[in-house]
Amino acid sequence: MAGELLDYISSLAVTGVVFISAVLVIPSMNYVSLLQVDQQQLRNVAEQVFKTMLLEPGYPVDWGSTDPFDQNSVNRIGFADENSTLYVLDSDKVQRLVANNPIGSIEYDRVRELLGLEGYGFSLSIVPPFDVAVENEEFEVAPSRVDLELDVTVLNVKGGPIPNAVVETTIIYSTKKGDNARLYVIVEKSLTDRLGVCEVEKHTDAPSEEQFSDVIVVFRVSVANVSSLFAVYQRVPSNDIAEINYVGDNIVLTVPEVTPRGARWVDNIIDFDWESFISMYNGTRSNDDKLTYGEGYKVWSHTFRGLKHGAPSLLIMGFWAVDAGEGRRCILIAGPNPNLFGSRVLQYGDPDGAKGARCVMKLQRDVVISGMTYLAEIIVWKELS
Amino acid sequence: MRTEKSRGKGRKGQMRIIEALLASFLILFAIAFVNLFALTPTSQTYEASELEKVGFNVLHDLDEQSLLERYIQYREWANFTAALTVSLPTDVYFNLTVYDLNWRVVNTAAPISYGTAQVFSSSFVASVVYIVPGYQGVYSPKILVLQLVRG
Repeated sequence: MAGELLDYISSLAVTGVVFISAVLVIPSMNYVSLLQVDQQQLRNVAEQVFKTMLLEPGYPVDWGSTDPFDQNSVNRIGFADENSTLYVLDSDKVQRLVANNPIGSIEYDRVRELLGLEGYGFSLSIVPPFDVAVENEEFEVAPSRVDLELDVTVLNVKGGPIPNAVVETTIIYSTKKGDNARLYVIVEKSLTDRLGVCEVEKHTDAPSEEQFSDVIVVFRVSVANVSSLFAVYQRVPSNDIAEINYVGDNIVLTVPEVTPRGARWVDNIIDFDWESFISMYNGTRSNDDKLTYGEGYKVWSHTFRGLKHGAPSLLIMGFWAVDAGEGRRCILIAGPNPNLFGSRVLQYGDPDGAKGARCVMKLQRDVVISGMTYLAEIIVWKELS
Repeated sequence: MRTEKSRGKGRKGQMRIIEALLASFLILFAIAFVNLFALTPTSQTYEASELEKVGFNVLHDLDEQSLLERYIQYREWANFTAALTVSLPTDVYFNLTVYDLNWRVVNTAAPISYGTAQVFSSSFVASVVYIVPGYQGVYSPKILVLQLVRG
């Protein structure tokens, strides 16, 4: 009797061990296959989404250029320029991906809904194909003299140096003579050395009877003529004076929530591009060009015919404004953000979503915006249910 | 008598255990065996198709900016290499050969490549063929063959 019981107990134990082993072993045998199937499905989803984003103009085809912008009026999403060939994106549509854009942005959940991405998460960036770092050795702006010594380092996205990159440095000075402001421009070209570094040195005396007010330095970098980048070096952060944006043919300036809160006037607007450097506007320091926190002066908007067609990469503006600790002077700033750092979209979507995901798919394509090359990168993952 | 009976029952019980074990192993073996023949998408194959898209995208981008024809016309092979290096993802090795219409190599003097020859002996090499019709309206077609491997 005892032996029979022992047999039953041991058979039960052995069956239990075999069952548990089977439960553990069989899924692990199939795990690799299941993972590959998951990866392939995710790849298909990511490719389809990226294709829609980069090759489709969306509907309405000019959805990015509507002012005021309503994200619910977008019926189909896509960032391609409707009049161009493959992988050329519309700058107005792309800037709707910039978070906290004062002229309106499209929310992540709305984009997911339009792309039919329920159950999936994504993160998108549109950045230049290389990085430019500017190290300040000397940046002194005195009324009678300006001394600049800057080290410009050009690196690839992995941090390796890029030799023989062409660095075109444009130095824009604003001076004042009485109440009148003037702009002077100096352009210099140099090549990076083996370490990807080039030195920019400029010492300039003020023209007679004039005093320097401000200086802004813009770098245009190209490698084998293919890639270019703007990196701006300025004394006052752009957003301390005004938030610069343009949509369609309109330039829109808004007053940021910073101190000092004194009124500021638009003195000059310069369209800065790879090929051109055009003065677009000269202000009169009247109420028409005034920006302040008072009602009716919080937003400055002006239409410039052909602005959208020209698609400037950067706008440089001279403001008659108060600089903390230095009083009122002519201040030069650049915008819009993040163009002044060389990027179009630093990060859009869920930045941390990919961390906990089992499968992640990363795709990259070269795109052209306003005649410049950028790397568009999308990361897609399946969200845990 | 009792002892004989219980011995017989005990052997039967042991046989049941052995049967259960054999049946379980048979099932496991069958699943494992069938799994060997299962056709699943191999990521390397799809990786090659993704690299082909990346390669076409980069060549098309350079072509759109009229740079391809210029590199070929003026034999700017170093510039061509630099352009591909910054345009392609950093973990991708490439080897580009320029042919004329008679399949003679044009860039014999300077290889346009990144990565050793061994890298391209892998079985998962993506290959893109792109045709440049000429330079500034002058018909002088060249065939570009771009090979890509993920490092």
